[in-house]
This record gives sequence, C-alpha cells and structure tokens, in this order.
Amino acid sequence: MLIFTIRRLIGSVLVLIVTSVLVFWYVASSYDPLKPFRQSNPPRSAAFMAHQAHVYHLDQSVPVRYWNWLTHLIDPSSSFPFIGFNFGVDTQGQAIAGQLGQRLEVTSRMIIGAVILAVVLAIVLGVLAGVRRDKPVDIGVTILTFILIALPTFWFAAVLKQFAINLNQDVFHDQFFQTTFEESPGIESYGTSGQIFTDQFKHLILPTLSLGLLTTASWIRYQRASTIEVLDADFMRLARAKGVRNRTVVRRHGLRNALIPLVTVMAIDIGALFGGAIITEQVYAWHGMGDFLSLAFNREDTYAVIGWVMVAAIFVVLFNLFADLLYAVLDPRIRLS
Amino acid sequence: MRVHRGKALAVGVAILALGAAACSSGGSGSGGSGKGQLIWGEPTAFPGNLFPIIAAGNSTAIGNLDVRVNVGAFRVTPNIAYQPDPDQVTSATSSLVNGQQVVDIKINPKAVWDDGKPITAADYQFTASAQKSQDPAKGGCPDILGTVGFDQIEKSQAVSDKEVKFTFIKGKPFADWKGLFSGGTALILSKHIIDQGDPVKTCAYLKKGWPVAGGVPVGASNGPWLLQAKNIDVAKKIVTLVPNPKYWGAKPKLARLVYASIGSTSDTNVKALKNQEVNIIYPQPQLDLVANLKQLSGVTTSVSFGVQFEHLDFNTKDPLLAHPEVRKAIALAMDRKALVDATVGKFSDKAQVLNNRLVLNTQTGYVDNGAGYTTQNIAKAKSLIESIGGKMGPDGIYTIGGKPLTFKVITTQQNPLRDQTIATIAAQVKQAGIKLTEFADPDIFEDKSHPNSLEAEGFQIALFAWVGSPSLSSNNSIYLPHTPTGGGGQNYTQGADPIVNDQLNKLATALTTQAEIDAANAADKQLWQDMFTIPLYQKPTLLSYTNNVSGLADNPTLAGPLWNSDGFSLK
Repeated sequence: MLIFTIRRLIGSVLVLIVTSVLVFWYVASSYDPLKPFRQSNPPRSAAFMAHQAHVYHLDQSVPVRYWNWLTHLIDPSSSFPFIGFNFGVDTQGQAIAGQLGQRLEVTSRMIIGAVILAVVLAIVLGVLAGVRRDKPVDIGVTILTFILIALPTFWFAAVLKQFAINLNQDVFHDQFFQTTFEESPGIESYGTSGQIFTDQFKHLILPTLSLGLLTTASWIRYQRASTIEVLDADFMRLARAKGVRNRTVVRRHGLRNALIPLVTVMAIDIGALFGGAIITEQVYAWHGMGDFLSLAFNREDTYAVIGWVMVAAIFVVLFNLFADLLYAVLDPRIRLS
Repeated sequence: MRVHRGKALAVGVAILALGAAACSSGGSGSGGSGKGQLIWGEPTAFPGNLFPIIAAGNSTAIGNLDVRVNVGAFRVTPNIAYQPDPDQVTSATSSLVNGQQVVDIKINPKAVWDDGKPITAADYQFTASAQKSQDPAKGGCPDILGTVGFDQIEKSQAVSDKEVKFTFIKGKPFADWKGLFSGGTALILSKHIIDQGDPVKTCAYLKKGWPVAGGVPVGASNGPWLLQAKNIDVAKKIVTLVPNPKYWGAKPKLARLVYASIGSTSDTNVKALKNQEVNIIYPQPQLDLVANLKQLSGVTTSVSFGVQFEHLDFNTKDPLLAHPEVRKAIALAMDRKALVDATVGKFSDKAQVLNNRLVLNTQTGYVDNGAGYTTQNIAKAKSLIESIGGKMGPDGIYTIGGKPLTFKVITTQQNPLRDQTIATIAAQVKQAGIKLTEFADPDIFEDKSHPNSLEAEGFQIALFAWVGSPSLSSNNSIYLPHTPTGGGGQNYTQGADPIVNDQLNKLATALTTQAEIDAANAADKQLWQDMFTIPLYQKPTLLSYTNNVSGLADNPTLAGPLWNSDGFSLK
C-alpha cells in the first residue's frame, strides 16, 4: 500500500508540473495586461508603458517567467505549517495566494452544504430506486434525475432564484430567501452575532440547493446502478436464503458495497467543485474561486490565472488520489494489480 | 442510549450547514450623524488598490468609491463641466501674467484632512511635484499613471497656508488645469501622509499605493465620507463608507453607504433590486435589461447619455479610403438619424445624433457641425464616388481602379449594440454601392505586434468608443498627427490636417472655457471636411434605484452616480 501511495503521489506531482507548464505557456503567450492602458485618453507615455511591462514581467521570455515563477512557488515559513504557496502578485499588486485562500473559504461554504445535500439525496433516492427497481418510485426518481441532469446550471439557478423572490413577495412578505451575496452588505456594521449568523444561513440556502440538486442527479444514477448490481450479487442471495430480513440485508450488506463506486465518483466531483462553481457563484453574486477566475480572465492576468489553475488542479489531483487510495482500501484487487 | 442513525444524520447535516454558514463573521464599526444605510451594487471589478494615480488603482470602481472620499478643488457636474467645490476652495482662477499662465487657488480656511490637520498650499504643491515626472533621474516616479499638465508647471508658490499659485512654462499654458485638481482619480495628495521626505522613498510609497485591505490612511481623506480599513471586507467585496466626523461642510445624510460588488450580470442586478437586496444599480444598458427594470414596481429607472461616444475611424492609408471622396460618400450614404433610432434610440427618446467629435451633445458648448451628414444623401454619395472614376459593378458595388468598395469594419467582440450599428450602417451604405462587413476583432486593442490591432494600423474601418471629458483638450491625441515625441498617439486614422492641428494646439493652451469651446468647434468643423472619423452617438448609462432613496441623480461622466452621495437619504 505504501509503494502504491508513493507511486500515485509522484504521478500527481508530475501531472501538476505538466499542467503548470501548459497553462503558463498558453496564458503568458496570449495575455496582454497592458491592454486597458492603450485605451486611456490621453494616452499613457511610452516610458510608463515600458515600466508597466517590466512590472508585469512582460519584458522577459515566457520560459524565464515560468522558471522564476516555479522557483518561487514554494514559500518556506518559520511558523506552522512551515510551508506555503507563493503564486506571485496580480496586476493590482495583491498577493495571489492570500486572495485564493479567501476565495477558497467562500467556495467551501457553498460546496460543503451542497455536497451534504447531494450525498444524502444520492444515497436515499439511489438506494430507494435500486431496491424498488421499475416500480413507480424508481420511475419517479429516474425522471427527476434526468430532468436535473438536462437542466443548464445557469437556468436552474436563475429559476430557483425567481421562485424564491416570488415566495418572498407573495407568501412571506419579507426577505426570507436572500438571493444575492454571501451576506447582507453592511450587516456586520449593525447586526448582532445571531443576526449575522441567521443572515449568512439564509444566503446559503439557494446556492446550496442549486448546486446540491444538480450535483446529486448523476450521483443518484450511480447509486441506483450499483445498488441494483449489489442486490443481484451471490452474497445477497445467500443472506436472503439464510432468512435474514430483506431490509436488514440491504442495510447491512448491500448498502456498504453499493457505496464504493459512489464514493470514488464523489471524490472526483468534489475535487472539481473546489475549482469553483463558476456559474452558481455568478448567479448568486458570491465571490469565490469562480469569481476570481472570471476576474483574472478579464484582466488578462497571467499570474492570477496560473495561481487559480494550480489550486484547482491540486484539489482535483488530491481528490483523485484520495479516490484511488480509497478504492484500493475498499477493493484489495486494485493495489495488487 | 441508542441514537437513531437517520436522526443523527439529519442533525449532523443541520450542524454542518449552520457551521459552514457561520464560518466568517466579524464586526466592523460605523459612525456618523446620518441615518440608515443604502447599498450600492458596483458592476465593475472590486479594486485591489485604492490609490488612483498608479496602475493598480486605475479602475472604474475606484472612481465610484473615491469620488466623495478624496475630493478636489473642482467637481464634475452631470453636464460634463467642472464646478469649483466651495467646501474645498474659495476661489480657483487662471490668468495670463507676463505671458505665463498662473493658476491661483485659495483654499477654504475650514478645510482639514480627516485627522484634523489643515489642508494647506503645501498639499497642493506636493500634489503637483509628485506627479511632475516619471523619470527617477529627475526625482520622478515611473509608477504614476501620467504627468500630463503637471509637467508644464514651471514653479509653485505658497502665497500663504491657504493660497497657492502655479506658474506654467512660458508658451505652454495648460487648458485642462482644473482637471489636475478635480478629486477622485485626480485627488489632492496629503503631504504629511504621503511625502516620505526623499523622492526615492516617496516613489516607493506611491508604488505600493493603498492596498484595499488597508483602506485610505487616516489623514489622507478630505471628503464627507471615509473609507476605513475596519469597514472593508475584501473576501466578500464589501466596503462601507461612513461619515467623516472632521468634515466641515454638510455631513452625509446616511449613517452608511455600503458598496457591494454585484458584477455585471443583468439577471443578478435585476433580481437583487427586485428583492431589495441592493438599493442602487448602475449596469451596462441593454435593451432587455432596461425593459425588465422598468417593469419593476417600487423602482425608478432612468437612462442618460454619458461621456462615451461611438465613432467610425477610417484608415487613410488604405488605398481606397485615402480618397476623401470615398470617406465622405460613406458618411453621406449613412442615415445616422435612422441609425440612432435603431440603436440607442431604443433606450431613450432623448438619444441624438452626435455631430461633433470634441464637444458632446450633452456638454456645454456643443455645436452641430455635421448637419449636412445627419440624413442620407445617396445621390450625392454616388456622385462623389463617380467623380474619382468609380464605376458601378454588376453586383451593385462600385469599383475604383478595379478595386471594389468593399470594406471590413473591425470592432470588439460580443457587443450587440455594435453588431446592430454595423448591420444598420452596412444596409444603408449598400444603397450607394459600398459594401461593409463586420469583423469582431479579438485583437482590436492589442499592441502593434498584432496585425489586426488599431495600433498596428492595418485595419480599414474601425468602430469603437472614445471617452469625452470636461477637459476638451483631453482627446487631442486622437486627431493630432504622429510625431517622434509621441504626439497623436491615438490617431489610428493617420489623417493629418494643419488647420486641425493649429486649432487643437489653441485648444490645449486656451485660458478660458469659451476659448476652449471655440477652438474645439473650429477643429471639429475642419474634421468634417477631412472625414477621418465619423462620430455616431453618445452611449447611454442606466441608473436604477429603489423608491425609498432620495437625492439621487445620475452623473453620466466618470464621476458616476455617487458624485453627490453625501446628499442621499432614505425616505
């Protein structure tokens, strides 16, 4: 298992390096952060443009820029955790690593709630549909999941938002559902801790529902398929033949085995979600990882984009690694091969 | 005790969700004498730096945030003009003394920084000296955005603590002197905070600027609002402006003005306003957005016409467009009144054809210099083309010297208004035997290394916007010819006319507003003869706010709708 883990770790680091080379090369070759200054009236002086080109390292070749970036990537520290990332500074002179940390915290709040919702729904509805195969429950769940899979994220989030606003106006006659931002702007100036907590929770409801429901749709399908497969397995038939009640057989023997494929799929999906649920963040005006990337694209900010890519890639690689290891733990045949 | 697994799971979910929701909270103070708060939904990117005279602080958002935090001697009014701010100065005049322009500014005796220290002549002198040069060898700082105007000041003199005189270099008066001290992005620098006593150290200070998390340093604000570090949440992109207790003029009527970064998505803006989660939005106008906003109850929506104006640039080095007859034929073949009706006229019935390149319709001094080109004149257009040997081809397109009058119009990508503009113009000029096709150019604003960029000057016709200003001379570089010293840096048409140059030079050195207006109109009148460019229309701005707000009026200049935010109140 140790050799298996080390091999996977080395492979993951290589993937990160290759990713960084490709993305850095592409963005550094095509991005032009000086573009806004060319549209100024009156125009900026040639000296200023040359100086800004120097500030943005545009006077260096792409390989030199990449090497400088790579060699400063790991930032040793004298305090815990003794090591950190240094992605450089953005075009506004702000440390990218610090910003990404803040953005990750925002995105995490949305993802944690959404993943919890998605997991619960996936297990409950997936198992129910598998156990009640071809029954009305299964057909209902199948229709629901196909609808959710087919819905564009932007459209679903927008419709959910409109529905909530209508409820606010017609039913609650109050802002029960909050549709914009992570919290009500300015509440920290006048709200008590309890009010701020409640306000933030209300702001979490719609993004969580939106992201959670769309994420769970494919997971329900996985869970249903693996439940059906496990239910047909020999050990399940044996358990039933021994006279164990069907509900107990499903719960004690079926569920644990049926969860294995879902766990691996979830690990991979969650890793990707940390890159930022870009559209969901945009619809609800949250300022997480997706918003950071969008801004970096608009500013043609090479170092901000590569910083985001590295953080997103690290999460994807880590969760893939986690999935590999988990699978190896759950299924010994993997590590033996 | 045995806990039911289902119940445990449900409780766990609730705890985790609530815990996640509570991950970030913290206190921040507020203060002041006003009542209540309003929330401004900022459509542009959250700033990284609050110091507007360096690249990092050069953003629209800073303009909105700073406009009543760092106030200057002048304010920019909605009719695109400078107006002295009596809270800041008792008088500010320009005169000619022995052939040199002398600007005399008398500071309001009550004016103080937010730390209570008086605003003095030394602050104005420091503002000028810090932006005089970008050359470190001359004590300058390469990180500042520009030196225009300040580099023409020969000397400054503190007549007293509250009066300062600037003398400009002989023969080089600066017409736009008001713009040097107009606040916001042209802020007055607080000497006792920013001056580090040594040009190198001061430049290092300027380079660092004011990173947003640190707010505007105490002692550097002179407006009715304060932008303090404790009221800035960078992660959530929320800034709360609070009244400046040291402000000597009328205090803000609100206790807080909250700035929240909402982004530019139309749907998000509309729904946030509908659900009363923001009070004021200022998004880019789009037809469906305007219609949606006008349908909202309890919301006021207004469209104004701002300082950005659309125009066509003709590349005079193109073999066909080098003929003024061809350029004029295109202008005559256009029905610009119909064009306005088909584009910005759909936003508001106040939309007008722009018949001046230097003074905008809504600006004091506007003269309609292009009246002969407002409506379509196909016969005259054809006649002009035929006068230089144009022959109508079987496809209905003229040829000159065997070359068809077919032109590619470059413009920015994903801009429906510009797509509509080009489509309308193309349909109009086709009647005169001229074919236009659109090319949404991803490289339009790139540098010279991109052949399709404006700077590379390889285009035929370009459609994009310029930004007007109360300073009429600020757009001189668009029409002056290229020079080795950098003049005419944005004259992508490469057209040159000595009469225009002469008038623009007069404009740059005019000493009175009327002289500026006269020179600008004279230059524009000649530009209609040259037809290097065609102005089309001012672009609209869109302001929408909940009906519980009072005191709000759009200022469609770069000052923005928060230009009088200290007068906002809740009904």
